[in-house]
Amino acid sequence: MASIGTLWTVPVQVPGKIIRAAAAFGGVTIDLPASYVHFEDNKKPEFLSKFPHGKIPSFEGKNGFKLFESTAIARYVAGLAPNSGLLGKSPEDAALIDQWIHLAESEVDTYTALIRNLVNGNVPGYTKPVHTALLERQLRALSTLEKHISSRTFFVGERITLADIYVAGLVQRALSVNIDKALRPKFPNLIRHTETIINQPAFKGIFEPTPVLETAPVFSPPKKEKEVKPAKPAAPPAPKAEKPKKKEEDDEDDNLVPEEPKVKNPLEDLPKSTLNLEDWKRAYSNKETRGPGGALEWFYENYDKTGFSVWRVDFKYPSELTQIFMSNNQVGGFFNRLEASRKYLFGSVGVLGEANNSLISGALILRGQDAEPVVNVAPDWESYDFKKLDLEKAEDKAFFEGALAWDLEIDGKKWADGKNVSDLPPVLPE
Amino acid sequence: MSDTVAGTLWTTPGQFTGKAIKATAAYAGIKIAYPASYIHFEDNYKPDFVTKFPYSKVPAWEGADGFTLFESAPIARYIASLAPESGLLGKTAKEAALIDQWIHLMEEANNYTENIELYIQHVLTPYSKSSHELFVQYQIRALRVLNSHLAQRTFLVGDALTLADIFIAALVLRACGINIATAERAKLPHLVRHMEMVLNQPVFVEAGIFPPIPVLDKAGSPFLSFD
Repeated sequence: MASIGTLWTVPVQVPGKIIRAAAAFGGVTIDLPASYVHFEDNKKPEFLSKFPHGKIPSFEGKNGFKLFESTAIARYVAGLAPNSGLLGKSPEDAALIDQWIHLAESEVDTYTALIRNLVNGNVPGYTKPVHTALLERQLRALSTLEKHISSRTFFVGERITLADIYVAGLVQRALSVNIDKALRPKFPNLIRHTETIINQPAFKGIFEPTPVLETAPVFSPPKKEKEVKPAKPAAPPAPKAEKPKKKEEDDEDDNLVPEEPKVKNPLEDLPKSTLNLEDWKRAYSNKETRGPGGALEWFYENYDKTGFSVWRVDFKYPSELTQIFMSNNQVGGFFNRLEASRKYLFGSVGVLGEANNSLISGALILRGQDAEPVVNVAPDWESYDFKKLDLEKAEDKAFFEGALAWDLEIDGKKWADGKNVSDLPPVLPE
Repeated sequence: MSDTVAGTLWTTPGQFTGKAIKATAAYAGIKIAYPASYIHFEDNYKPDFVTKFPYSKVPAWEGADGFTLFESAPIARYIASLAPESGLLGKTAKEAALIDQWIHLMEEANNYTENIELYIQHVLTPYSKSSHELFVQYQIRALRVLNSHLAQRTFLVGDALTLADIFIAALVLRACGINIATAERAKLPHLVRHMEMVLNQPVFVEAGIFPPIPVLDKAGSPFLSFD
């Protein structure tokens, strides 16, 4: 049979496998792309002009018909082979097939994906209660499926339909993500069904053998120095493709593609520096700031003034400031909004003075020679003045040291409280 | 409209997918009935409900012929299929597939709407600002695709109302009460125009299916107090 078109997917993508299986079962030939690199090709104009959502699976028919969304494609492909029985024999059959697919997708797979992404840190906000709540919902839906299939071979009628392929594919996925040895005994019939379906001769080469997960992965909070990896707009695509297979599958069909491809960060292209900012942050945290053997001493020994620069930062509107703790919160908020530049930035900024008579000022150590590329990730960066410091000048050096030591004084206003970038809590509260 | 009742729909007053199904039936000229009394969170766990609808969720459908079905979009699609001349499922297999596509995309956005609502209502706790913002980002991304598609179009698929239009309008209306506020709507003008067009279809107005589009000055926040 001539190919009906091309399905953009990648080999590990579960909905892609389901569509390929439906096509194979129905004797419908579909092509896979000659070359497709996910996270790169799907952001290019030629892809987006065809598939505006930028996701896979996406289908382009030989006659130019374009379609995206997994179940829509699967149903369309199945409909091209009416004798296959994949969509049942009556409107009622078709509706029941819809029902089971919809249940598996929205009530099992949505949670499988969310559980995986919270546990592996791809999506922020992990807490045990949320994990438990999601697991309960996923298990509830799996139980409904288990009950239905316990007295049946197939989900609808007495032959394979699209519902069987979908449920098997998504159950297999759940079994590889979080339905581990402890949970498997709850779903013996569902597992029996999954194995029956994926091992159909027609599906040879499409599904991998079902893994037996020893224990479901658990969440481990990130260390303070390490950056948590939410789906940040600035994340370059290449590293994701290098990650192990499991992660790749997850990213492709889990909507973790950042919204707009941001221009590559110029800070990444700077020549390597001898100063490692993380080492500095550690030194600052562990040592006294001033004095022999202190952090400042370490800094002057290791500072690379080509690769880095030192800045004074002042809040432009000190007359707006009221309570010290509120101003301090403002600094904290500003640092939070600088999160995306965390690896290019160290800051020690404080509130000086008293309630209703204060100012915000401090020092930043930044990668490169320009403040803007580092700080403009924060939408409110223009509320602050940035002035480059020259550590050869006594005045600037004293300012820098005062900011780091938290004893800075400006116009008689003494340092009352402050924040350092390195003492921010991790993004995920525990 | 046909006088014969085709079946009974279980739903709740605030359920927007339920409204989409009602609208589908109204447009298709299919008469549906509602249970004499139904208390959600109670009746749906009772044996007579569970035997029919093992997942215990609504919306749920029981045809006059005894056929039982649950899951929102499948019910809507099934009811539409009972009236093929309504055009709700398109005129060709390709149109039907495109209707599927847009509904599926909207369901994805609606997923995020739901999560956002759960955060705002303090149902999903503890609150995580970063994940709230991520959900909004994903929701808006999907809504933008719909908005762009509607820039030069009145209907999502073809040149007449289909199930896709009903579903999208109903779930955008829902989002308008949660986080798609004045500012967000200004950035999704075609989607808002489309929603207004659908909700104002005479058959939906007569049947009183959809509530008015709420005015929302600011997206809901978990830090607003609720009465």
